[in-house]
Amino acid sequence: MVFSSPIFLFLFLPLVLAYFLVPGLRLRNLWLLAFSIIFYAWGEVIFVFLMLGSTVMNYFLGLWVDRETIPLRRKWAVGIAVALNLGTLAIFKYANFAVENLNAVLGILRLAPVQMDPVRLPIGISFFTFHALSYVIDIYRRKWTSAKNPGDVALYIFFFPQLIAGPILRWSAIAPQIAQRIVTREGFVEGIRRFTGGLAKKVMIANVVAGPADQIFSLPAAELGPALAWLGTLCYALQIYFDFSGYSDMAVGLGKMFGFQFLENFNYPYISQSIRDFWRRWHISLSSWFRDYLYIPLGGNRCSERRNYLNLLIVFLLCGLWHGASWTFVIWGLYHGTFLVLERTRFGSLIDWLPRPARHIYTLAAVLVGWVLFRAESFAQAVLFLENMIGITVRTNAAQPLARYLTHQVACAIALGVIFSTPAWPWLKISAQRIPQLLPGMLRPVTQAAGAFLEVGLVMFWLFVSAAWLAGGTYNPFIYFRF
Amino acid sequence: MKFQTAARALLIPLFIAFLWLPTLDWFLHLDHVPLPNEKRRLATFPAYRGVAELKQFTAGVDAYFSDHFGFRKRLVRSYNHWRRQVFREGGNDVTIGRDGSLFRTGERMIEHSTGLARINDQELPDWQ
Repeated sequence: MVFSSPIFLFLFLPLVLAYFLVPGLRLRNLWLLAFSIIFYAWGEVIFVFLMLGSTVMNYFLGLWVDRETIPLRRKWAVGIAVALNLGTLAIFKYANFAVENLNAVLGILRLAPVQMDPVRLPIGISFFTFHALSYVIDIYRRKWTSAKNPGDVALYIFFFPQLIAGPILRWSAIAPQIAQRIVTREGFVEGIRRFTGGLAKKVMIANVVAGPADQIFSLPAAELGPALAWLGTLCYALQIYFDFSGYSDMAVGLGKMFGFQFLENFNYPYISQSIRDFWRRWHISLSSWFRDYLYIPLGGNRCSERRNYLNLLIVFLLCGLWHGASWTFVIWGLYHGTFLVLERTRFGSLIDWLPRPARHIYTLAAVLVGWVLFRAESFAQAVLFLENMIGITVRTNAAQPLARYLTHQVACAIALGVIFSTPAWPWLKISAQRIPQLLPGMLRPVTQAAGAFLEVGLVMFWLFVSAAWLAGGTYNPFIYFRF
Repeated sequence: MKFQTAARALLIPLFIAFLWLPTLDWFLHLDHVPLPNEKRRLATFPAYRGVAELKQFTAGVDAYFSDHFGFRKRLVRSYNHWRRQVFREGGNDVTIGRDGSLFRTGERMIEHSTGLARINDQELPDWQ
């Protein structure tokens, strides 16, 4: 089930909100767990048993790690826990890829290929594996104790707002909230705002630009031209940002409605001044997970310069591979890793010396080229697409007209996308809040009241428009589902 | 401050009511907008064929709900109205010409009409 579907919005969510009629925290947690299992089972019945198995396994592994007092045994316990979780991920996500590449090598050596039935990818496996890893590692690091109740581990892993696309949670952050939390009116209202904003981002921007992005990326290279290739890249850059940040906003909003505080996942990444800055703003829960659970244990930057560069490349290679079992993701990860290494050299000093607009252009250009690698079906297609973007391909009269894809609705979605990729909305809100202070005293209450109720009207309007877009629109893909 | 508190107090029931309205319409038939002509057969409620086909069943329920939820007709009408009036666009696979004529865009019709889509060697025998 996805948040941007009528069955979630008009059946699942109203029912799960009956949570507030359930007495006591323990029963409320059970209520959330039951609905979270239904949420996952709706799309993947069979894999619910895999997740339940993983939950039980991690519950016992957590107890084991927690009870061991001898450091060496504790290390073994956490090592086995990490290996079992990564092993599950490797089988379900990377087995097909590994066999495919092995068979390619065997083919070159004229040896018989390995026969294996394709393994189906469970939805959200990368997210729930990282949740499980955080559970055992946080216990090992004594950031929090193991759960005494297996239901608490199950709720941590299954909790539906973050189940299939994050944000990636930490056991040490969520465990106290499972044990005790308060839902306030302010928190619930903020949850509604975030959820509605995320839904509007998803259906009114991401879904609209997804159409031309998919169409342009599926065109043969001969039918592309520089303008069309740039339009396709721009549409995809907006699609992936508004799709994923919209989903994250909905997840954060839903969490707030039930009294949970999730980590923020995005902070206007397209206004970044460098690739280093970009990774502080893009998919924050993933980049900070890699920083805390991989980069720092590898030695981080408290080692030689060369070792530090190697650490960065390893982290970003694995970050690329986390996104999918494909060479394009590996190349995308290494591409970003290389920029991060370069920005620690004299090249970084040169970038810092540039004026702000030039730094912004450099970052956007690097990110957009990266998205082409990320989106393309193969490296060869990515190269052809990039050649079209810089106009070094032989022009044919088969190039498609731009107007075919740049419809009024798409142009409007792109304009909205560009505006909302900047902190324009918070700036507008702060400016609007200052207006009453500039007015004579007798007018202040009237403008304050108008502002407060205007916001309510706006939230309900966006909710209605989003629902209409959902009802009428047929194109509703979700990119981060497959990760 | 008291206005903000009052506005917050108002948003919660409005949001909950919005989520429950389609269910209310299902029982009370409040949406009197005529059925839009979608030129397709709406999904019917799927038959349950056991645990082995549970995935197909849930997908069928999803499709059924998406086609039949309350106030859908009004929402689809609003969506089409905005698309036509604000964006000057037709429905899916339809584009509006400068003089208001409607053109089908599905199955690469525009490309075929403008000579962009050429029949390749593989497709040629199918036409002969």
